[in-house]
Amino acid sequence: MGLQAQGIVKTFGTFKALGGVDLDIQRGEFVALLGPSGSGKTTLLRILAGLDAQDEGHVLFNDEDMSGRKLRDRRVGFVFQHYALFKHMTVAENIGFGLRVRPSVERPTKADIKARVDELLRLVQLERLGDRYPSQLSGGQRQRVALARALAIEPSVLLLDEPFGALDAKVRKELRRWLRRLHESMQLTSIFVTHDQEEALELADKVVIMNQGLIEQVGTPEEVYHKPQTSFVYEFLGGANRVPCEIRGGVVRIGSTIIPAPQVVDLKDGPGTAYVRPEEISIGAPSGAGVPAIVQHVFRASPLPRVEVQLVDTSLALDVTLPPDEAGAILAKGQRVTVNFSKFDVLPG
Amino acid sequence: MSARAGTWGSWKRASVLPGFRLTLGYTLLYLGIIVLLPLAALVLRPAELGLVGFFETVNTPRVLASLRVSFGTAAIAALINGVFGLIIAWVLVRYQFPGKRLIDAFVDLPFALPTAVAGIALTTLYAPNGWVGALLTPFGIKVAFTPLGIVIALIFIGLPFVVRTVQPVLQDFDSELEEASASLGASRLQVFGLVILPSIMPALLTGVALAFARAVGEYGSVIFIAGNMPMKSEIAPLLIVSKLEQFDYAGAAAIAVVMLAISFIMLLILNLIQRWARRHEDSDR
Amino acid sequence: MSAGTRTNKLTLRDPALVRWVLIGLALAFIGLVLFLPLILVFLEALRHGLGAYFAAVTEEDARSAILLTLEVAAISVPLNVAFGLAGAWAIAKFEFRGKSLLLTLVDLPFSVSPVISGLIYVLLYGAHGWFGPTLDAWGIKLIFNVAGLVLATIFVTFPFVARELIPLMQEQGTEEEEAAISLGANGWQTFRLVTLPNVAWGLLYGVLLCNARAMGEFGAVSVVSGHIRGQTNTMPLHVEILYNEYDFVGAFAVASLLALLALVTLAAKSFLEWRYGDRLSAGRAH
Repeated sequence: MGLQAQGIVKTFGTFKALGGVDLDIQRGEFVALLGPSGSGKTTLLRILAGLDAQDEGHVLFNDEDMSGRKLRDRRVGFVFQHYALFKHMTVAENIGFGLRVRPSVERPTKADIKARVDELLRLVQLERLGDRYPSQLSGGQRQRVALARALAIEPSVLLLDEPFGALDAKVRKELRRWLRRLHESMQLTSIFVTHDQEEALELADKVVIMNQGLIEQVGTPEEVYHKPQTSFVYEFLGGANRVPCEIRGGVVRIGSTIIPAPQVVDLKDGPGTAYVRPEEISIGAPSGAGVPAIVQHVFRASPLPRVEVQLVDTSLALDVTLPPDEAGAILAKGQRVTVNFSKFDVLPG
Repeated sequence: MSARAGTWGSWKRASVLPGFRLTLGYTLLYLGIIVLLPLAALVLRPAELGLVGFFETVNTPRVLASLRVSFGTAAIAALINGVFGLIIAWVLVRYQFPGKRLIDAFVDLPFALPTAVAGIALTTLYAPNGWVGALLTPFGIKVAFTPLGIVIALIFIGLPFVVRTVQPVLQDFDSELEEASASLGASRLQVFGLVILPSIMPALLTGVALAFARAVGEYGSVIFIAGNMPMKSEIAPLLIVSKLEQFDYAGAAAIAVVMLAISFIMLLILNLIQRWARRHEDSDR
Repeated sequence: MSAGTRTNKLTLRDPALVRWVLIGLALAFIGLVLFLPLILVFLEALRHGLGAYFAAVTEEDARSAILLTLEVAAISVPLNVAFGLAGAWAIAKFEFRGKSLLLTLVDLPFSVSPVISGLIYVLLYGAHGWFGPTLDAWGIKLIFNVAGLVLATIFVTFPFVARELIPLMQEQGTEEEEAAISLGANGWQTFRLVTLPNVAWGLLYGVLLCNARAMGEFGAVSVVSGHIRGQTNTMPLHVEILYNEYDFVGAFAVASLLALLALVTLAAKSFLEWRYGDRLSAGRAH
């Protein structure tokens, strides 16, 4: 099902949670709403679901305006951040709830409900836990119950609020892969909220990056990672270094060093900021070309050695990730080096 | 959806849960009939006396004496409960002793025991020929049928208020604070006086205030033990009842209004003191 | 209530002398103020033996007082349950302006003297009250009648259920209800299948306290009752009459029934706190 948000504005008291958001989601897409806390991503999700009402704008499902349409009629599968499982019902009762509360004409028979619940229990790999209560389950199991419960009503769209937020790292990875497979095999349209960039980039077809109630960028994981359009996206994704610089006649100058800047074409003269990721920096001999720097720290207790260097001219500290073969073995604290940027972007300001 | 947010949004946050208008409407109707309308009658009724009449009704020696008795005994009882309620809460939270569970449950007795039952039991107990009264008579102490008897009844009524407000705070008290102050060389007494007491003070004040508020209006447990001698041991609620029995509705309402006004002002002052006592607490607490 | 971990810490242990003095003081105080009066009720009731006791509680006026007390509670408690549920739903599950004012109003009866609680209804419906003469002309009598007893009882007891449910429902938030609605449940289904089971023990707890107070209320009903024996005398009022007539065995016999009710209430309350403490709202003081 296609889903559109048009000019969504939402204010809580004096706080503007969403300041005019437009979003277009195609049928079958797996979309991540990514942003820091307070960026409005959960508010947007709740408005798409109909759990909150927007102050302005429209939500369209298959080009049909959902404004004024009750939540019950939207057939939205919503998975709550803390799962919101019914504590006093068993797993099976939780999953069957959406079928049990249907008006009597539409309600499946008890046997049909049971069959459907069993099917869903198999789907989420909890076949033998149907009689348990939520309090007897682990976090990952609760998450899957919440998912099965949402799927039971055959939703037109699946919305998940921080689906892995409350889980530990190992369970999180497993569930992520499993959810991705589930999305594909059931041909769902899914939208999830997360503040974890790795999660968003790994799982989604389309990443929507939000900040302060507005969308900063929408694109595939590759696009948003490799072609960030705003300084916020640059800093939020991949932990890029910020390097203040001067732009003059299409040339970028950091301190007193002029560095080649292939991407900078139409930038106006004036101060700018170069964004460069740790893995896009290389370290060379002090006599070579590049920006002079001094090694401050070498961390070797990680998959890739990380080095912190300080630029001589500006005393700015940069994080550098070295390829494994260089191993950083030759580097030591206090050593003079030069750094080169294999790839970077410059934005004005 | 945007239309609904427009009409309700100004005073109520939109929600997907249904039934707000129905339940709020019912709540307001119920409160209106049970509380607001009768209270309006209470406040407006003395108006028929006029300001001068109102003043004359209240400013008689007997009424003033009864107010003094009510508020005075309530204050004394609340203070005594403050001390012993704190000790009981402390003992229940900090120490182990046989029968502790039972004692803990028993503290709520005054909430559950009808006041008239408490009244006749305490009177029989503290009468000159009663179990406790007989022990006190040789010392010339008369409890029943004196203001002292009123205080005893009000202690009974108010005790659980203090214990039950202090207990949870004491329970949650961070023992690291105690350990820290002990490690800095403070004695047990200093730890109690300088660290523990200040942090449970707001709760203790709340408990004392609740006990006091309850005691001021108490009727059932008091009238049996008080002896009800005008000017000496006659409480204000009893005076209201006797005015009613003479069909002096306005007079009864006037005394009631004065009682409520004094209680309100005292609670307001206590609230301010509490706010002051809580001034160092985290805002999220 | 287990403080074992704390007392085991060496630095925090009070000297044994202090411990025992404080425990002694606490027990003495509780014994003198709470325990002795309760024991006395039963001993006085049985002073002239079981025969006299049963005669006293089965006597004509006592029986009608017991029945009236049950009747008043049977009317006012369910009404307060309905109010408590409706009020808690509106106050706990929604955000709106004026909420704290509403909460204050709900709490109000706790801070009003029982006598004043009765008085306000006399002022409205009594012979010289606002509506008294009108009602009288229609042949309706509220004061000195069962209806008046019910009204006054409702007033003094209505916060109990609401006060227990509001914090409980607030703690539980609205997520489960939102989940139910998103799964297609209607309002009544959501309330019955999701909300009610979650607050069931808290509701029972509130009903217990509400009922104890409804059956034991003295001051408020005393003002509206008129003390007509066999007609508007509830048990607490009957205790007063017997006591004032120096029928001490009779007074304490009826009082002992009320004391038993109190003990049963306390036991049930403690059981609920012990067994379902996590499903009751924290920090209750009444």
